[in-house]
Amino acid sequence: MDGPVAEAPPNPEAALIERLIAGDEAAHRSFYRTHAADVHRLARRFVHSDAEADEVVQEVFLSAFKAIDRFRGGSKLRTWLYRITVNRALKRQRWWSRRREVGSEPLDHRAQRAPGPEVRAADREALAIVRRCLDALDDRKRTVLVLHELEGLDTKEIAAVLDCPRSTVLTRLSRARAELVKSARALGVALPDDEGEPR
Amino acid sequence: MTSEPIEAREAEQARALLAPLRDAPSAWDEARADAVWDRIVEARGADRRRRVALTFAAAAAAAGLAVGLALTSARRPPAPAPVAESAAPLAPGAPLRGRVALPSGAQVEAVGAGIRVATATADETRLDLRDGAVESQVPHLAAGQRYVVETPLAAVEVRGTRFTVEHHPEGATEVRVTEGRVEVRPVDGRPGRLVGPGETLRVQRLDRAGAEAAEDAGDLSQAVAILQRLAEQAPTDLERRNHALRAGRLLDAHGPVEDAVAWWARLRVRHPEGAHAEEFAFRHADALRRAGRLDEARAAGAALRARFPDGARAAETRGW
Repeated sequence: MDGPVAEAPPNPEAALIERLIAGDEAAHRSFYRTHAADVHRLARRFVHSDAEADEVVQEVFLSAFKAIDRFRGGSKLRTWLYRITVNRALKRQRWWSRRREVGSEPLDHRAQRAPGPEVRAADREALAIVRRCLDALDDRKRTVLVLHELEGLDTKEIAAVLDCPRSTVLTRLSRARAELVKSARALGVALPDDEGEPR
Repeated sequence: MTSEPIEAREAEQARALLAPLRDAPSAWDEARADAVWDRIVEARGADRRRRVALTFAAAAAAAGLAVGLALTSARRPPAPAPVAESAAPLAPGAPLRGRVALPSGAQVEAVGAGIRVATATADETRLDLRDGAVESQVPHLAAGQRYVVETPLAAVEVRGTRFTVEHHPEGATEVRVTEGRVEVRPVDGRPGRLVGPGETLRVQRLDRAGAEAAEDAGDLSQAVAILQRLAEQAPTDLERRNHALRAGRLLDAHGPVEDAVAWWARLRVRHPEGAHAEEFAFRHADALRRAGRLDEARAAGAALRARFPDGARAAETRGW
């Protein structure tokens, strides 16, 4: 016997988008509350202080609220936000890269020491080295590596964020890993299972 | 060895390398979320009200400085002359889009959603530009005739010329003149400027958004000037300190090192305690070091270590 015809499950994201387009303040705040931490964390992967990441968060949500009526729904809201975040963060990072003098320090040292005094100096040193290796990659490779290895996105999601073919993501990912490892070796970092290399 | 095992090994090594970053705790918390949200609300409110909060306009006018006015002669390729496609009557408040012939004989091309007609008669044309760009080709007007494009930041008045006014709601009005001359008068009372053919004048908002717009436009001295003004006049102490820090950071990055030394010295004296005090002191010492004033840098570093012995910056000054 046939059961009752199931109704299509409601799409909460579509409903949220409608409310955002309608200018519903509660929806805007809820949207921000849901995604701001992710946006900040992702932005922080690219910029060099938490204060700058705050500014990226602000820019991303202002931009998203302004453009929400143009969101076509071809991807998830989170993917769309990630795309805006990557673009904004890279723009800001490039700006600083062009202007920062060699040896100058990032603005927010409070953020730099965010892990707190319990984090050993050796850990801070490790963080600094990894950042240096990551910064040495070009933007495209770094973005793919960050989204995959640090943010946990799969290659299909990354392709959606970057609006490029998955094969491109795979190629960039492979090259990014190789260059990261090479940079680390050049800095004398011991790597696991490096045959014939210093451990 | 084939490439696949190499790639797999590199993937494993990359993951291991990135582990410290992946596991690093985030500084994002409720307080931070609230502070950023407040800034978003503030920025959106200002945008929605469709007016620019020229918070420091009075002071800027009193100072009579040209802060926020950037005149460049970067020549751009002239846009094609607009061709009138519509001569329909234009009621006050009507949106203006596309190529339009105005009753005054001027021809305009309007691009953007925030352009309206304030007045459009044979004797007077006033266009209200909030977001977008208007290119105008204005015939020589008879005595008493006026042609003005008004943005939240400036009124641009002209006779017999061809020019484009573009307003960015983020905080800038840009005027580009192709032929003739226009006078640009900032609405906050700052002195006006005549802009000639091939020149571009940018009127920057005197607030954080204006500074950011200047940064984005690559006009760093402008950004520093705005931030330094804000560092003096922002409504709260924390805002003043934040603006001061941003200004100093820009100076550190691209300004003359002696300017950076002077700026940080001033902040160190003005803010010996509270938010950013340690950073101001460190930046001062570091600027001295970069300026080659090593004895002074060491003394400033020693003072920093004495004042903030547990601070993150103290260790960085050792060994100078």
